[in-house]
Amino acid sequence: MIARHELLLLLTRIVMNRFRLLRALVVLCAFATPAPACAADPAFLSDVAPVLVSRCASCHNGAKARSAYKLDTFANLLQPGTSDAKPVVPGKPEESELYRRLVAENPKERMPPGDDALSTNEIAAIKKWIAAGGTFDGSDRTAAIKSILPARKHPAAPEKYPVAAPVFAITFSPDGKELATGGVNEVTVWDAVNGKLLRRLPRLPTRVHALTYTSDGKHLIVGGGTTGEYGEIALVDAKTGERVRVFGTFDDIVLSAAFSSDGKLVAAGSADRTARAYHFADGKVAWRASLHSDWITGVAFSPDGKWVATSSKDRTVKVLEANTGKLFTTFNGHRRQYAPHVGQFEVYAVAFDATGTALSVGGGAAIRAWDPVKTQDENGSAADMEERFKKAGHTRYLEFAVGKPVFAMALGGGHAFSAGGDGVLREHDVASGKLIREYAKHTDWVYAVAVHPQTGRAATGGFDGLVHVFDTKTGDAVTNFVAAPGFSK
Amino acid sequence: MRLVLLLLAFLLPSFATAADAPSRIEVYPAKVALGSNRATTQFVITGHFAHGETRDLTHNATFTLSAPVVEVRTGVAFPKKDGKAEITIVAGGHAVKVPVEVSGQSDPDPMRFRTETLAVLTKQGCNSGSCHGSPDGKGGFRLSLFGYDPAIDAESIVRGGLNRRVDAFNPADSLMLKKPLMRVAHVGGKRLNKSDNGYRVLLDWIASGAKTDDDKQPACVQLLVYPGPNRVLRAPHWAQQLSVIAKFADGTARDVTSLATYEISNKESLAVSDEGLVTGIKRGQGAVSVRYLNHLESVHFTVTEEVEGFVWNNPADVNFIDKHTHAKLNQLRVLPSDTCDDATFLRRVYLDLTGLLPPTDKAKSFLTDTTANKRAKIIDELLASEEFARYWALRSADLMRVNPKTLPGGRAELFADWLIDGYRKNAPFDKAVTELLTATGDAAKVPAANYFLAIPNLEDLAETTAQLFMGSRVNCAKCHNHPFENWTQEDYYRIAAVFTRVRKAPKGTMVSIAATGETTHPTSGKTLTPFGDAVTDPKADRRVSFAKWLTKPGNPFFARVEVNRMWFGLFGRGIVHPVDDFRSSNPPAIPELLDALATEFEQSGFDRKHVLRLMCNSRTYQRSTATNKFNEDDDTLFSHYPIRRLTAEQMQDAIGYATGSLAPASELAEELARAEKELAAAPADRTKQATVKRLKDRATYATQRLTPEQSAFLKAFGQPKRESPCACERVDEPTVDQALQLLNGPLVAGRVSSSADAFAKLTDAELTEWLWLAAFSRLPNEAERKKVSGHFKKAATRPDAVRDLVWAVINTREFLLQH
Repeated sequence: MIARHELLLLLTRIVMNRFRLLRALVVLCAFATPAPACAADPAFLSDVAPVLVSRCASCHNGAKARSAYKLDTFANLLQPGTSDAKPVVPGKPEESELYRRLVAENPKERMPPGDDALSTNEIAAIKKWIAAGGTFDGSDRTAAIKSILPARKHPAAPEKYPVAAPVFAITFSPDGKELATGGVNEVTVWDAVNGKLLRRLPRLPTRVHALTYTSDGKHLIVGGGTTGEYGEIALVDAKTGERVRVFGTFDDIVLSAAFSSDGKLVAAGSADRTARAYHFADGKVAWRASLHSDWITGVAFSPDGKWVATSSKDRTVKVLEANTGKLFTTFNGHRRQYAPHVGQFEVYAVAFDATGTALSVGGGAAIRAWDPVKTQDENGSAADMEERFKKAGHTRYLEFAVGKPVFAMALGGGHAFSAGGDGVLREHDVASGKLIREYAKHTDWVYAVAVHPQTGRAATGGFDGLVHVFDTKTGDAVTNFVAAPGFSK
Repeated sequence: MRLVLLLLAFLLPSFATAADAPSRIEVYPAKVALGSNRATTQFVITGHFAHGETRDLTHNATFTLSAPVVEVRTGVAFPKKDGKAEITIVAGGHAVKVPVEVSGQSDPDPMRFRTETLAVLTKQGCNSGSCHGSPDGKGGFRLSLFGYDPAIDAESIVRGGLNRRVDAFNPADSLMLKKPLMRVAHVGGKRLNKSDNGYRVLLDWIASGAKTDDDKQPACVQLLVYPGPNRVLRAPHWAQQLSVIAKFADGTARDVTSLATYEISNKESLAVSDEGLVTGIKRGQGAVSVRYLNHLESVHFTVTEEVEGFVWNNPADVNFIDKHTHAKLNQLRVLPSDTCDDATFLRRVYLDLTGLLPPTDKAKSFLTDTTANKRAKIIDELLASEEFARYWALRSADLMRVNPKTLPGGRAELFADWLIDGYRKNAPFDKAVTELLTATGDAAKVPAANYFLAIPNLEDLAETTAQLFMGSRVNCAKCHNHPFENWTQEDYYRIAAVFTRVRKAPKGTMVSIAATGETTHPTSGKTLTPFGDAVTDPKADRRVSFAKWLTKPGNPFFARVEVNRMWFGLFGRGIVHPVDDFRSSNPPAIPELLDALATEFEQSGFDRKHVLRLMCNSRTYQRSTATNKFNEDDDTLFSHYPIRRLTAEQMQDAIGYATGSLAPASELAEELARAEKELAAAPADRTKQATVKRLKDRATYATQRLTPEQSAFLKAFGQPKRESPCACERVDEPTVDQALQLLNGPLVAGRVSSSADAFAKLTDAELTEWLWLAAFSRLPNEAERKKVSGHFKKAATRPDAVRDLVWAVINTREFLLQH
């Protein structure tokens, strides 16, 4: 079983390397203009589409597309806008409006208006693509171009950090000896006891918001992206940082990722409001869910593998069937009418404990602990819902006194560790709901929390780049460090 | 905008020609000190020409330096290196030398959040009320309105949204820049260009660490805008560069011309660039409001141009009102209309001063009167009448919420009568308002004390008082500094502090003053001193000091607001319009006129009748509504009399009179005397008592009653409910309901129907003449007489003929409109 798994990874690696070789060739050709028949002409998906998406699509999109010209899908891209000029005349870039408008001398005609022109390489690539026939190398002409873009290549991480970068993700290695944190275009790995930098896993997304080790500790699931435009979820070699597989790309940053307990499914939630699950074995999409009306901030599998819970800035938690992605129920317990604290609270984290109780947290001065099935039983739109909620008592409140939202939560040893805007890491006993301990105050907002019950350590990462490691038996600090290689104050 | 100006510059005649050369040039500022690598100075070069004319030469000037310490581009000095030098500025054949000192070029000067970043967010529109400045923000991103709460903004931009908006490592890739540049989809559209100064500010601020800890830095305390407070732009010289300098609490100053936000009150006449270059578009006037952080200053511009064929007809001035009006009209090349005829004048002045149509006998004698000063005489006569006092008091009572629902037990009537008495006796307005604002005692006996009982709470009292007597809508400042004027939240609660010790007996009618009670600032918690003159005795009634401050001659609001209300009463439009919206960004149409009227009002001892008399006697008031080629576009400068619909009450009484069911109110005194005599003979007679009361209260006249009649007809024509201090509560928009009411609503139908009996005794010719005099204050012309007599001949029965005629008359525009 294990052998087959390894073989698969090896295969993928070979394919990925091939792909990289091809890309290098393309880049070479772009510089080699006007040499005619180049071995590989620019391809639409890898060389043209990313430029169109980042520089043109924000205006030429949707019902209000400028001049009624849309380039959201390849089929639309070929349809003229109000000018009736053909966007792409295969083989004739000079007659193609798409190219002409990029190089027009009249500032009123040149696209994008009132902004920098596309780079000469970008323009050259589009020109060559049209000259070579303007063909489509994808499979579905009506699919949103954004959704079929190849995964981005990421730039190198800064050699030395000029400033500390916020730590959005933190996790212990399965043996508890190492701490991986999200950096800038990289994941950095640190000694969990003395805070020494052990490794840098480079060329990863600009921001890393989700980090989870495979149970053997050999790989990491890395989720992140570039805010407002790109997200990805990838399987990364924990030693070298090589992206073994990119499961999928998103329209906005990936904020969370989780493994099912049997390791067969990987789920990710993104600020583009979608949650997706992939088969770990072959990377294929298991399902996609667009059920939330705002960012998905957290995903978690139930221990029995039945449910996936997704938390959202839209103030709800949705429970989906883990195998199909179909909605099972919506937990509304972060809204005022169902809770002891006034307000409507964005939910930033969700987790299941070993008994299958869901825990979710955001604002509202309490972690909510609830049972998905009871929640569904109590769901409905009847007017007495609030009353029934109270009677049902299926939600318990693990209370704390904090006005700022809580951004992160980790479970371990029957305890919940949470922290957020007030910088304090809190430990609750899930069963009794009691607050066990408040750890020493972090100096800034905390965005990430991790716990390793076997070694009895908990860690936080915050806006100021500081990582604190605590001993959960004594409450004392183990170490703290700024997770920014080369940074000095 | 710059491009337009450059083109303009080429088209301009050369300044070398002696006839068109300035006599001198003026350079602002007189010296330049740039203490940071980001500091700049905007020059404004003014040429002074013959007849006091000024022109902006900023963008026609040349700048020569004695040492290259700065670089001057488009009239702005940018620092290059530390040192001192002299700039020689040459424009219009004159040269001026300006010393310049540059320092601190190598010292770090990180971009400041509170004074620069937030100013840019305002300038680009990010934090406006319809975008991220709305209470819930937009798209999950919330900013405080116009940056009034930097702490909220700091959190939202930097740590909020999981820090997604700023990227210290790739500043140019920050979402906060990508969104307004439309590099990624932005519901608010494109709000920023890379060439904008705002882009550089935001980018630098993010690159320098997106620091928000500058709360200890000195705050901006004053905004200096040059030139000001007003400027005339004469074609073809339609451009004016502004300079905006912010003064800070530590005494430093910084040129913020490129950071300030500019808004235009009249976009038809003016435009302004992001760099403060104002350009005229069309003849007219308007204000350019300059906002920087919580400060707002306005410059008023008049845009003029020669108009082909325009010749000023030099109308004679009756009084100073005409002098100022004519000056403005001539300046803007607008030709006033002729003086209206006697009939129009008589009807107009009767309706405006008494709310009623002139009685037919009055109209007939006035038309044939040949006395030279007959118009002045009738004005005096009307100002002395009981009808005037009642009609003008009704207008005041509207705004003071004199309403039997809120002031039961006869107190509404008591209060209304007090207001009437003020007009009747022509009480000096300063005294009357002082009496009102300082009233204490049992409101069942002290009429003015009802002012405090008609207004439900302290905040409303502050807002109402400011709106009524300071012409200012301060309610925005309750929650944050006012976005369009200089009212701060502190001002708001200082006005509230004036009234904070007013005590009303629960369910009773007693108004008293407590010896203690303070108002605190809602956010700082600071105890505030009451607005107005300083209160020396801590136990004294604070309202007395406030009233003293308010009514003191020279108060910027009091006299101007009241004369403007009087003007509004006569013209249907204020010199400042709306009448309770005095702010620097809503300038008066003729500022000199408003100032002169206010001064006259103060010097006359706040004599309302005196000012009304001046207004009514002016040629400006007596102009015809007919327009000419050179004033047909004007509806703000009073070049012709504005046509407007009769008010609800005027219309009801006019219909009553013209249908023969309502006698002239001037005959009431006689009737009352008779009824009182009859009652004296039988004092216990209930019917007689009721008759006297009805006559006393003038209950049958909508324009004369003590408290308003509530009827569907009045409501349809916009009678206010008396629930707010805003003159806008009286609406004048046309509605379908109004059309139906006039066609055959119960009031019209009833009165038209009874007119047949009322006019039964008159011959056809007599009736025609009476009707024309009553409805239009004029005699019918030949064509009209003929048409009417033809109508009588054709009609089946005379009563039907009378009814049809009366109905037709009251449905004419000549009847329904004030003209």
